[in-house]
Amino acid sequence: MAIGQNLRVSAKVFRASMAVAIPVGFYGAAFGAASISAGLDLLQTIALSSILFSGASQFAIVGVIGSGGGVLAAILASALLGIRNGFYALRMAPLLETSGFKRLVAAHITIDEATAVALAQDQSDRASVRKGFWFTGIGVFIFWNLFTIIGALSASTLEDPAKWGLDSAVPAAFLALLWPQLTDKRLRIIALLAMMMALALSPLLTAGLPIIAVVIIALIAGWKR
Amino acid sequence: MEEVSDQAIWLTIAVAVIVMLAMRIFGYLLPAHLVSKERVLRITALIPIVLLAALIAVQTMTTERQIVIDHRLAGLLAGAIALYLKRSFLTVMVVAGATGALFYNFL
Repeated sequence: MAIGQNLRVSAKVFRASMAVAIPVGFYGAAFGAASISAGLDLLQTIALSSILFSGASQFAIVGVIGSGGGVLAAILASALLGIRNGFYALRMAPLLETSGFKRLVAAHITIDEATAVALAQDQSDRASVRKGFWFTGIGVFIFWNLFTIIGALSASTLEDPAKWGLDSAVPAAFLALLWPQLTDKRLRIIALLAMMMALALSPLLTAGLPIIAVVIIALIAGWKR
Repeated sequence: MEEVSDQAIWLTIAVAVIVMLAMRIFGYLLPAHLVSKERVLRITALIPIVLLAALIAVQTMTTERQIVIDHRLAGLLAGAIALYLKRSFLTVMVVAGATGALFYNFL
């Protein structure tokens, strides 16, 4: 009886996790294709999806490299976009209570999706919170990497990504990630300011830096209020 | 524009991976009270938003550091309309990609 109920709860959390993990995996195809068209090879593309494993940072690295930016700019962009994983880790630590190797694995799969699904569970039900985290994190990892390879292999057969709309689909994927975060007018204005600032700085600074420079907007806007 | 060398790409990947893993692990090791200050939380919540916005603008409207308005902006605007109509992100990407390709190939 108790076991049956436990399985039912697991199945429910599992379904919620896969509903997130499978569609997010499609982004992996966009990344794989973007990475190849930016000039990275298949092994480098797979390395980013498996051992860096943070979508926005991966896109930023290939974006900076593709536009001829330097190593430092690419690393900085990746780090700045990945900072929030550290904050998710902070949030998840007391909920997961892991240690040793399992904690290392938990750290590696600490991403937007795993944290979001975990925190969407009834928080008094610690087991469901943990299952949401692990199912989603591992699920995204599997599908993200699978689709990365598919995207990368299909991109190598395209001689001009623009012909297939790839260079339009990638920024649109970013917009789809940003969209739900713009919950009020103030945030929409902040995002617009960041866009304008990055464009204004583009002719003046080396590639990659205009993107990082907009952090100053976050500093100013977040300082008060 | 100079090509980024193979070694430079591997160096980028290696350092980015170490930095990323360090940030994730520190999150699990740091005492919560150090980073739960309200101001720090507000700023870090805004960082992904401004970075993503800047990335979108630069990817859509620049070519080799010059501002360029072309098929990519058409694709992005079509994607934005799909988002406004609350379509799934797969639809958003297909709509943006198809519009961009249409403008690129036929206009």
